[in-house]
Amino acid sequence: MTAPMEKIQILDTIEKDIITCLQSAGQALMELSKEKSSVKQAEVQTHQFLKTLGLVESKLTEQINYLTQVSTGQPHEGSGYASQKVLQMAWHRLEHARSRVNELERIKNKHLQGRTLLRPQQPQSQQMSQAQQNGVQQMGSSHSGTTG
Amino acid sequence: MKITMANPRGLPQSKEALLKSYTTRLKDDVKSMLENFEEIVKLAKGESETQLSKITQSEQDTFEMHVRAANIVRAGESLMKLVSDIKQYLILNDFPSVNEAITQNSKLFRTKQNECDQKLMSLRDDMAADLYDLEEEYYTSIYK
Repeated sequence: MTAPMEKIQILDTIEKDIITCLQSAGQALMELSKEKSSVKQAEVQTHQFLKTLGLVESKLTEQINYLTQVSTGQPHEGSGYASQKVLQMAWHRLEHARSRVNELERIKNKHLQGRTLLRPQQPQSQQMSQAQQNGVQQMGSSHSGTTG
Repeated sequence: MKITMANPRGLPQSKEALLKSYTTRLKDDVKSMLENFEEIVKLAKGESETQLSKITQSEQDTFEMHVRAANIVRAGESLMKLVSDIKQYLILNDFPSVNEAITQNSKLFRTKQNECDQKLMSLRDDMAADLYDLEEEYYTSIYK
């Protein structure tokens, strides 16, 4: 069985044939109307016109016969909505999971930020206390030096 | 002067009548094109013997040619309209094609849905494994 688009394409070629047919008829008459008309050219165009017209008729008859065979009086009742709905639900599931995973990542980032904010303070305070202790020691040693 | 013209189209209700009208239109239009072309070529010979004066005769022939040429074009346009109608009929009433299209779409949708579900399942498995590791880590840590 031919694909659905193929039938439409055949009809498109028929449309082109009709245009060719009219063009050939015009060219043939144009050739006859010339001062020095070429009989051969006119004949060629006329043959082209007749041939294309016959082709158009046979192709269109074929298409109409096909339609007579396949069409019934009833409208088509099948639909793809069921499977479409199932797919849409699957998409929604996926989207929901994605939003939850995004939420998880957001929470993770929040915690990481909290830790990075906390961490630099601890080393600084430790350094400060160490520096203070060192200062006291230095002061003590200098003091002891002067006294000694 | 006999000028072949296609029948004006009505609006038939049943499908059979519609298809029959398509055939009639096709035959009428093709016949119209052919006859009008033949008549133009016959007129071009200019051998008709009438009692009219030559100028009147040639004017009449010119006018007839114009009308016949217009008729050929009209028949061509009518054929184009016929093709368009057949296309519309084909889209609406070509059951095998419609069935095939629906089957193809359903198959595609189901494949996509299976893909989605498989991805969700793999995500679930990964997260379950990770959660297991995290739980292990938590319960053996000092934060417990």
